[in-house]
Amino acid sequence: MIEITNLTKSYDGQVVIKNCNAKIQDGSINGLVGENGAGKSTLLRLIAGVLKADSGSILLDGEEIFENPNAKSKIFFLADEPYFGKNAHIRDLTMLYSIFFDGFTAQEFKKNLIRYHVDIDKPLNSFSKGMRRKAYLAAALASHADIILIDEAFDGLDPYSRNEFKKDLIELIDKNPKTTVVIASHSLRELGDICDSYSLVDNGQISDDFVEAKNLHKVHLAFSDEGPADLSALKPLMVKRDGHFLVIVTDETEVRIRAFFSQYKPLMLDIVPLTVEEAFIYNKEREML
Amino acid sequence: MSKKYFRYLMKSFWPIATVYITLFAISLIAIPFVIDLFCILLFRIRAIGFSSYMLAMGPSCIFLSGLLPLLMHTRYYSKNRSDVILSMPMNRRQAFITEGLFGLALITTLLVFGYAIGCGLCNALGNGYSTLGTFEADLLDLPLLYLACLITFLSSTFAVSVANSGFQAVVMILIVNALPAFLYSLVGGSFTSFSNLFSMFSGESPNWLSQSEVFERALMFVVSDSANPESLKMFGNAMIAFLCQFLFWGGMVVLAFFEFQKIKSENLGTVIPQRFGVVNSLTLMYMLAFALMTQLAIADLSNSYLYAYEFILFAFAYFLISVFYFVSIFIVRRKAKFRKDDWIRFAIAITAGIVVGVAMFGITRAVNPSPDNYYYY
Repeated sequence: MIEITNLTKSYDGQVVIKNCNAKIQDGSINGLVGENGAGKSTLLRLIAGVLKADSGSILLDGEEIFENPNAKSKIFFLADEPYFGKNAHIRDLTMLYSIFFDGFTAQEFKKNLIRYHVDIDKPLNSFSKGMRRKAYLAAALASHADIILIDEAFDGLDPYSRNEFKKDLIELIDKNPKTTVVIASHSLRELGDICDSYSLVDNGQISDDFVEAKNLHKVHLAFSDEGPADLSALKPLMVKRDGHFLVIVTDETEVRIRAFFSQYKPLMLDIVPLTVEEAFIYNKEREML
Repeated sequence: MSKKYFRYLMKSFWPIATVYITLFAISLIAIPFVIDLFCILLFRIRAIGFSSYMLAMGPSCIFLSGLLPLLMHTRYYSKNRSDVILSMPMNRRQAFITEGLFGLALITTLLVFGYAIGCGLCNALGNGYSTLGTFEADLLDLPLLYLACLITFLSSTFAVSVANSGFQAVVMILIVNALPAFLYSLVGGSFTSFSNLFSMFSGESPNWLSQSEVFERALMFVVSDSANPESLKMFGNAMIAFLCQFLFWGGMVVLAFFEFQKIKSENLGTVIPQRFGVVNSLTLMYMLAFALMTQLAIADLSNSYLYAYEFILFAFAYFLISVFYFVSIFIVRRKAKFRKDDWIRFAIAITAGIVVGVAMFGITRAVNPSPDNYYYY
């Protein structure tokens, strides 16, 4: 388990992570979401031991990670734009990771690369952004590290590769129930497909309850006529009308929602959970109101 | 030390190192030959000897040592690079020690290689150690050179490790590149200061003076014999030498400032390796001028034509080394994009070097038109 306690990190006096606390359980895929510049990458770098925290601690199974080779040997960190030298080849990645990670298997790496249609004979700088990303993700999957940290996992990937990678991650967790994956991404739909839990990094704080505990509801309705014209009583965050169909997002309670619409006798009233992307967007909108 | 990191450095760096060592070897063989040719054509004497060989090898080794951290693709040059290396299972101290030891191994290889080539070259030409004293002097210069290279390498590595930005990193590299070269020049002087020390301890009077000794003696003269016009002249000349070194340092700072005003706004990860060749060549050109001025001051000071002769060799060696660096970096970084203004500045620097060199040569010939007075190594 990764345990973050009272973590603070600042750059040139600007506080990026502020007195944060969080726990990441073993055997799970965790999504790290937040706006640009919120501190997601900084948090991953802190967990990976690349950066030193100003104060607080990050423990992996009770051990401090920073400057601790033993703890770091269990962590594979894939940054958003890792730099491997101008003329680095796939064989250089293989060499680096097989030297440092005992569990890294060159054979599996190669197998992943072929499956992702990555040309193993060309230098990395001749690849497109997405192709490079696929090569790095293939390495992450072949690392067999206990903790896999991936920044901007889906950046530049085509839909097919996204799907393949998601399947591979789920398979990885199935095969190795102790493996923990933390993914920072803006592709919330993709995260929604695979993550067991989410953490929101916002204003230097981490909250892990933004999806469930914010009482946001998405309501699908159908009416025989056009339905209610005035929805202000529900303080909707989103309203979408399409003929006799209506979709709204509100933070009112389920009881209040049902009570409000019952007078209009809807043909259908369905309260569905929000996707991660919707939860993220509407929470933000509500904050800005 | 991290054994894994050492293995990684060995495996990943040796292909580049092989290219560099090959180019280094070519330059070590070629530079004395070119100097020799230069001297045969102009002075009608032969120059190849161990001293002139060391003259070519010393600055070359020092600057190569300063470049090693860049070539090693160490972890510091960009955030993107540090993400990879610093996330590996080792701590920073282990990484730093490993890089230091790796550099030590590489510099040792280079110097042993260079020294072996030099010995072979001089002996093959039947023009090697004319006296035991010369041999001792050169041999004793080697640890000094080794130390200078090591300091350059470690300080370059350290400088970039503590730098917060590319601007800081490269300025610090430049300074730490220059520092050991400066010290080597100051302490080593005419490459015979150790021999002088040897002579002094053995009761003989030293033949030549290094710059630091000149300065020290000049001060002693002034304190003990201020009425003597010769001592004042000596002091004045020592001041010129000292001023030259200050000019050198000031020039380095100005050079670094203008060079990196451009770089700092650009992409750090790709720009520095591409532009570093130009920067280093300009630095070397500046060092050429510095060396000429200092040697001129000493030549006048010691009233010995040895120095007048030597500074031409010294200047020419620097000129060749800077060309070598420029070409080799261009070869290693095949995709380096030199802009038009880089070429222009490089051309100006080379032209300036040639003009200064020719002017100095003219002065030397005017002072001493007879080639017979030149010291033969």
